[in-house]
Amino acid sequence: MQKFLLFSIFILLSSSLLSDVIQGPYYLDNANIDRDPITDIALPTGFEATVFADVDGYARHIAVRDDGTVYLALTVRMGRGSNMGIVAMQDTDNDGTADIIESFATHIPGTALQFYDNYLYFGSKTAIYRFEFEGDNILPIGDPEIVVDGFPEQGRHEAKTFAIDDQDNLFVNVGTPSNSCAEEFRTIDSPGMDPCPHLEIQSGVWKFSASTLNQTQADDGIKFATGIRNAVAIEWSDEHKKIYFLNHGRDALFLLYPEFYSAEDSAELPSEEMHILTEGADYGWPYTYFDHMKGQRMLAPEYGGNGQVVADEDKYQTPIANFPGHWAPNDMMFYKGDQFPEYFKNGAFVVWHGSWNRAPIQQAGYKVTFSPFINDMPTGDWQDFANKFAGQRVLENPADAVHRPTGIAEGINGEVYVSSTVSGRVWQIKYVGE
Amino acid sequence: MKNIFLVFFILLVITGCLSAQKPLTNDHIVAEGQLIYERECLACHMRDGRGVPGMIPGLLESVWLQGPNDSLIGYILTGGFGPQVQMARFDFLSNEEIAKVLTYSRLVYLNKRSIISNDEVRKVRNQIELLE
Repeated sequence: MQKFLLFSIFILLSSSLLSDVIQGPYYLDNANIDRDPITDIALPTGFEATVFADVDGYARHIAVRDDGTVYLALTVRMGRGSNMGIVAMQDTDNDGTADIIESFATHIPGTALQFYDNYLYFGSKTAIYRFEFEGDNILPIGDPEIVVDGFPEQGRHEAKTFAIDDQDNLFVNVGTPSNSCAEEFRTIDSPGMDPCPHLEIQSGVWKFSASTLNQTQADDGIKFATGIRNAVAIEWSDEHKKIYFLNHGRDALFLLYPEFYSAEDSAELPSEEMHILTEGADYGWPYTYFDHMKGQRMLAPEYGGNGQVVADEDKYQTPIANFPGHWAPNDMMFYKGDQFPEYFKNGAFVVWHGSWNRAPIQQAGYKVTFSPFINDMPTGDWQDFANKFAGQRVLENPADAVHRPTGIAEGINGEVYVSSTVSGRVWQIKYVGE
Repeated sequence: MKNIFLVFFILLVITGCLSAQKPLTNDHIVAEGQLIYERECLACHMRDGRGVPGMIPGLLESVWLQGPNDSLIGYILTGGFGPQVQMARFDFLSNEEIAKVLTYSRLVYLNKRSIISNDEVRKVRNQIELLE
């Protein structure tokens, strides 16, 4: 009996240490579920996927029009990708596979896609465009209009993702051109520039009018929030009336500061952070990073930190949820429909492109997680929802990932679409019951 | 008699020393280079040496690894130009560490036995310091 008591206490203690991962009612039991041989992914019991399309291109975000047509952004970046622009897909016979596929704007590489006021907004590397739609035409009428132009050209973190609220405001993520704003890029013991010049016109969110054409960042943009390294996943929630985002945390703590961080620390740190977008807020890059194991914001080693020095708490935002390092959050979506069980309503799906910066530890991410919400805040816990995109069980090199999930959107009947960069695959996911 | 024994002993010591200077085996190269590779290179170039596509060049087709010793050593000491992630300067490594890890990388990723000596690294380092 005493042994049993001790055992129970042990179980309680170990589960409290792992409190971030939950086994919710539709939990994906990774250890005991194999990937489906046709779709290449694994889903919780009761969910089924179909391959909606295999597109020739580096697929990014997805948007669904009110007639059910699925639009997919294609980009060319880092030497990857074949086609650019937007792919329009319709499933006229409702079998879960697109049977009409057309393309447009094939001269523009882009990532972000969203419908607003019967226009399709498209975020490229240096501009936000929009396309007008009319009637039941699958393709837009006329040429793209420029909503905002003149973002700085940069070789990395260049995708201009955005969110549009219910007050006609457009919020654009402008990623940082560096890793940690060090004087010498990714060089051992190179101190951080202070103040960091990458915060001037980058590394934050700029606010524009969603319906005004030909704006520029310099003339019309309002610097709304700063200290964000790259918020590829940024989303307005109609239910919660807020904009949420996830940040791509910095790389190479161990590589640059082996005296302060082990390879294991560096694989887990810094946290990938979920935040609410707030006017005037500072989210801490490059001066700080968040450590979910300590539950504290830490001073970055380029700015006097050593893995132990806590940052000024009042100056920077604290994440509303955090995740292990380098998983690369590329999109998020609040579930609004009724096709999935009630459990998912108004909670957030997050799509993780997967890491490269966890070696020599195995790579991680490459999946879709679900974070339940209570009112407008995540509970802080999360569970795996779709997994095994990468293929083999132990992934050492990202090059071996079969799929890397990136975009997510909800269809008009509550079904969910997920895209993959490296394979160009789009899945349709439905709840079919136990 | 005593002298003959002494001469024999000295001969034995000399042969011992000579046999210790036999050429490096591949096993030795791996044993001496692998830990340095794992500590300094693996996080970017990966265990399999393929790097990260579009982001960090692989070593298997690297023109630097295939190229002349001097330019390879200079590249490691001054830092490189990746398509996305710029390679750091590795001038904080000792001449011996650089020699070992480059010799190891050529053997493992190019399947080529080509030994780089500490002295070659020292010479290139001196030339760079003169330029600076």
